[in-house]
Amino acid sequence: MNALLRAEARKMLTTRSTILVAGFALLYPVLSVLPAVFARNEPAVDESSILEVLRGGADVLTLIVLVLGILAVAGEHRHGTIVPTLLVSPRRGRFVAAKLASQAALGATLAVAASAVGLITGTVYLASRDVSVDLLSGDVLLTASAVALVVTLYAFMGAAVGALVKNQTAAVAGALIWVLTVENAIPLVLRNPGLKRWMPGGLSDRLLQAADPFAGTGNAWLALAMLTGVAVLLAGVAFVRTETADVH
Amino acid sequence: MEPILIEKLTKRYGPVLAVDDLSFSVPAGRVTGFLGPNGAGKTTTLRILLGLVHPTSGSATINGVAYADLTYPARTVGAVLEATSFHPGRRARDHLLILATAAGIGQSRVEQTLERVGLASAADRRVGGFSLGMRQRLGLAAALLGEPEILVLDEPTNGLDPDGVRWLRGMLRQLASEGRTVLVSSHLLSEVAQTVDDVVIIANGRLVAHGPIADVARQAASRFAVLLRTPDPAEAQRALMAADLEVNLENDGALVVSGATPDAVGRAVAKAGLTLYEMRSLDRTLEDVFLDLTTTREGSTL
Ligand SMILES: Nc1ncnc2c1ncn2[C@@H]1O[C@H](COP(=O)(O)OP(=O)(O)OP(=O)(O)O)[C@@H](O)[C@H]1O
Ligand SMILES: [Mg+2]
Repeated sequence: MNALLRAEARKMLTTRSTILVAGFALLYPVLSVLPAVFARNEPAVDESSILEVLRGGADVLTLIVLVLGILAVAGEHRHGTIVPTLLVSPRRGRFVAAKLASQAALGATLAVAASAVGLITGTVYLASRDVSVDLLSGDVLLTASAVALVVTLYAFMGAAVGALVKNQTAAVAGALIWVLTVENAIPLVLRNPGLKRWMPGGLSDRLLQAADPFAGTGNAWLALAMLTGVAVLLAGVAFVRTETADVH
Repeated sequence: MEPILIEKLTKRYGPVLAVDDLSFSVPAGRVTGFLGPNGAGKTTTLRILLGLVHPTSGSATINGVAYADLTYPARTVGAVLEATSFHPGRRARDHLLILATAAGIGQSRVEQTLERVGLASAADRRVGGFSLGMRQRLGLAAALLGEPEILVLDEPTNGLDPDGVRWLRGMLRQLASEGRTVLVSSHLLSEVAQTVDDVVIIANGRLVAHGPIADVARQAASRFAVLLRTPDPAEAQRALMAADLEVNLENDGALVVSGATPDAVGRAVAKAGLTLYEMRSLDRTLEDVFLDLTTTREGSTL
């Protein structure tokens, strides 16, 4: 299993598109989130603006790692590298486990790195406006942890979806359509706006709002449990599908 | 224990019976040619053997166990499959390093293998820019990484130019001389005739011949074919077929009677009262025997 994880790491580091996208994920907080948050809050920037920076970064990062996760598995089918991969590691369960674990690790790493970039640049900016930020405050740590958890779970779900759908284009398109439109459309169509809170995007939002005194941490724990449930369910189906499928 | 054992193997793809109750074994230390026309079921059989495709019934084992149950698959079997694919943006060396890492094989083996297949100077190039021949070499390098005892190659000469084919043949002979067991598929008997010790011939997913290539060659020599020209080929064909002979009408109007000696054909001609313009024996090549074996029993093979 260890060898498989190291092989997965090597795959990531030798795929230029992964490196480019990961680089973009780290620059995104500086390029886009920071200006947007501070422009919206001017002139009343305060300590809590830093939480918005963290949450703003998470939105794009979840999409990025979701797609990277899909590409990591469905891409093996697309390029045919699945064949040498499975010849070396014929136990399919281990193959799926290595993909899920390595993508989750990539997600966690990117989340921590992007949060660090957002926190550092945000603090520097706020300092220039005479607002001091305590980076070790409970709210900052809670929100940064929530970002890391949500992004890790999305990366994990990406790998699971990639193993489930296999057709790379269909998987990426399907996942993006789900996240960007279906989750918003279902509550509208069913005339039940409360439904949104119970779908992956809504659950992530609740988790990211853990530091919000009105939302409450109990709410966040429930959201974490449910989002994890969705991820585990997807992974379970991915395991079964991969075990039984013929590889061509 | 047989290095490779196929037992009562059947694979259905919906209505298509790709492999049909196929059984054969591959002895250790020999090169076995796995032959059959397009669509015969070679690739399907090999994919099942390598654990990529699940059989409908029957089994395929390596050293007595299913591929997925091998303790060190990459050190036991090396495989080059049809259309082996690589990530186009990855360098050749990285492709091998990834596989070596997953298989727990040292980095120095990667350099040795690149050297062995003649890709050392292209190791740092991205595979997207590789020619077909270079890709085949890289596929073979991946198969050889673990210095496996058993090699499985699916139409490795596909897309190679004559130079590449010669290189590959030399490589196979060298691997065989090192005592490895090799199973190599092809749809041309003549292509592997010089390289293999044994042949397994299949058509429509079923075994039609199995044995040392020398036996098949003897069979070629013993099976006669006689060419006839007559004023009315269609009529003559009917008359000879009525005498239980196997007669094919060629495009140029000639009749070819196969599987019968010239005297038997001569007697049948006389009995039918046919007029002959020409009658001569044909030399039968190995390829003719192969075509006979793979077409006459089952009708069309495509
Ligand atoms: N994934 C698949 N789905 C449906 N049918 C398939 C599939 N793979 C193979 N077949 C069918 O199974 C039969 C055997 O195919 P296979 O590829 O094993 O033949 P082959 O001997 O390797 O032929 P070739 O010399 O052309 O490579 C064919 O009729 C083919 O159409
Ligand atoms: Mg084939």
